[in-house]
Amino acid sequence: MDTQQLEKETLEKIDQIVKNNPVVIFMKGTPQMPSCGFSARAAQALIDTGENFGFVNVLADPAVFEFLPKYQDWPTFPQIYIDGELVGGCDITLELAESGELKKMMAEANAKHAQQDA
Amino acid sequence: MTPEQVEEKIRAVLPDARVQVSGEECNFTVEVESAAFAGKSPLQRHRMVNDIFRNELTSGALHALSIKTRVPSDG
Repeated sequence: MDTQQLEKETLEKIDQIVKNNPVVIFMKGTPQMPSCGFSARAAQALIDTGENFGFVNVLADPAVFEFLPKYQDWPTFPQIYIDGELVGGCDITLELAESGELKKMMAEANAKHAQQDA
Repeated sequence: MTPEQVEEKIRAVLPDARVQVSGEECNFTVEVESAAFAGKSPLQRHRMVNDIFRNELTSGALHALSIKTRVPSDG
């Protein structure tokens, strides 16, 4: 497979993950075993809300690691998506967690997706 | 990059910015205060700063940039 084809397929795969998950974090490592301080802090903020979320370990998928920055033109990891929209990286997620906004956004997205699946 | 280079690059794009840089080498925290952030969402503000360092973040010269943004308070 050539690079262009791989890029196209990877971006489609990322898009599906973002659309199919009310809340998803693309991170280095896993929430239980993060490989980077920024990913660790962002994942912990998500855990602390008590809400459900999905994760993708970008270190386990070289194509996702390479092409995710192009998806929403965001250059760094982690990236947090809620209800299909890029929320931001570690800094913004922690700011939203501090203000209580994060839990609200996650709860709303989870409720909305649960309704769609029903 | 040095903290001075980081600050210079930000002020080249946001001349009114008050910038504080901490960290070293390829891992910085920047606090930027600029009137240009007024009315912008956190995501838009971070994009404005990320865009300044697009080349460095892509090449790996910078691999972590922690960003805090503020609008100057008029109080």
